[in-house]
Amino acid sequence: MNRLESCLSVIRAELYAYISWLKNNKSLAFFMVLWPYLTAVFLLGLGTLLGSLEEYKVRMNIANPAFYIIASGGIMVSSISIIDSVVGIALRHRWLGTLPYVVSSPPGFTLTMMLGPIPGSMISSFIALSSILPAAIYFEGLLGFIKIFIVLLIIYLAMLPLIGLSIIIAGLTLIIGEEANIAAFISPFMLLLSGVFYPQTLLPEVLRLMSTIIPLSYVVNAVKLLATYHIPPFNIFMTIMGVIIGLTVIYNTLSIPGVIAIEKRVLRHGIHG
Amino acid sequence: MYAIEAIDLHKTYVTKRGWIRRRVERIRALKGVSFKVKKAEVFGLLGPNGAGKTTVVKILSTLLLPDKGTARIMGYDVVNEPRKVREIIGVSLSAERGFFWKLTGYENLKYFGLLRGLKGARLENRINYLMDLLGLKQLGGYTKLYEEYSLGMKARLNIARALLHDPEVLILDEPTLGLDPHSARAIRGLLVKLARHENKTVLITSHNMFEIELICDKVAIIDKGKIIALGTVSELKRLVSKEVPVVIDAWKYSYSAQELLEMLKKRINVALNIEESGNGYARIRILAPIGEEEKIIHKVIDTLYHIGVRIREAKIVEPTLEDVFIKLTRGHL
Repeated sequence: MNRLESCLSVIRAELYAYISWLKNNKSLAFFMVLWPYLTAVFLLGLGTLLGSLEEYKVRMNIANPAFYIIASGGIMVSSISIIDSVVGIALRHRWLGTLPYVVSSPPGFTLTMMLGPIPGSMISSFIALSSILPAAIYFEGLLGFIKIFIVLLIIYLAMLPLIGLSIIIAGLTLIIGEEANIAAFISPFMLLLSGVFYPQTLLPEVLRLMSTIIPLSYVVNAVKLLATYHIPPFNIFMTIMGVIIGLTVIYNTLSIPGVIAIEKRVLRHGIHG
Repeated sequence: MYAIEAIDLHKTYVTKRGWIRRRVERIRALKGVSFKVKKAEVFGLLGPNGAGKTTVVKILSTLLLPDKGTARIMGYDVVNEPRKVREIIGVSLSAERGFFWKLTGYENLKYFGLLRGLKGARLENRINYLMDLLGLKQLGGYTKLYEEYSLGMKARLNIARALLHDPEVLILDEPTLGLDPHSARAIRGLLVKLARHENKTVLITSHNMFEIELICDKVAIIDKGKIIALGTVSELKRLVSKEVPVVIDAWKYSYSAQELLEMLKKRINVALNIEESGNGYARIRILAPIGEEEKIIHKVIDTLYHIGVRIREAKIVEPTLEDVFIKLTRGHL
């Protein structure tokens, strides 16, 4: 089995497992559809806490709050699922006891931890955004459909910088050997920095600077553009895409030495089921 | 070429404890383990808990790097060529976990098959064949969620996963642990069949001496990280040719096996072991030097009588691998 075949094997297997898991957990699938609407209501409540919807529009600098709130609900759910998949993959396999079998299969530790979270993240994002599709079409017609499709593509693109990070987090989880699911702590902070709750301009300077290195910030900004214009300015949109691709290259290049060192450390430590 | 070679394997686990004052603890799990397994051989690695069996299994399965030494599977180095090794080994660790609880047996096997690059009709046929071979089809294993499996079914599914890609070498860590006699017998039969008819090499670890004696062509006894004996079962039995195994069944005693062992060891200086067999029963196994067996039986019975332990039966038996084990490890299991 060459490296490409190994990569495809991991994607195929994880995709199959995730779909089967959803099939056997129907109530979970139902709540995954409902979840973006619940978060949209939460965002609406948070946004109008200090004033009317009009004030919210001004504060957030958007033209169409309905689309923005619904799309942000979808993004929030997708982000939580992605962070959970990426940060939690090693722990999940360890809790199930599948870790030794996954690592002793030909793709090995690095490829499985790196590519394993992708199918689940893609499916959960797809479900989250598909579920808000009827609402988007209701408010914006066919354009709403196209915009949601664009948001989904941006989310998929924004997952790429996380690939290198996921293996480092997985490795550290195993080396430290403790049972904390740090995803639960990271998610709210990442969401705060991204500007999905309220504008990044309201954040303190340090947090605003930190938000520039988080891919999720650019997803939220892209959605703001989509909510403000019928057709977003091409150059701004392409700048956002460029930054995401740039972050992908930087994050993954920086991760390579870490990945190699971490695989060695994990195997010196031993894989425990 | 040997199917499995382990040459002078060393491994020390380093753990750090404490928040402020970090204490470093070092446990030497392997202190130069070497053995070779021929193709199509069933090789048993026998040892008490904590002897280093699982560490050896993990190194051979590419799940752990040794500190020193080499291990090869079908000529491939486990440290430098792990991908090659992973393609030709089938691994089975604990039977209790290791699968997705909310997936059926079939779905679990399909996941691991896909991960190994199998797909399409080949994968479907293989899953069908193995589920049938291991009796899982008949037990409803196709549609039952893993969480609904009995322990016996879980152990069978574990073996099915190890065989999924038709590996040349099987590495099985206590595959029958906790199983009912029927399931354990079925798995033992299958392993022998795989070696005899399909030329698979099987490395099995256990502290079930009866099982090892029954199916293994060659056995290594490992204790405190070292191989202390290696050979065929009959070769190993020759190590106790100067002793007579004596079995004493005692009942209605209020001591633990460990307490009883300590008391007897104070009175008589021979290799012995005690197994608790439930409901207050205990089986004491003694290796008495030839000619002294009668004297030792008297001494043991006398000791047991004085501490209130009643004897049900005392007899001289044929030597087994257990006696070799008792002699070499001085009885600690």
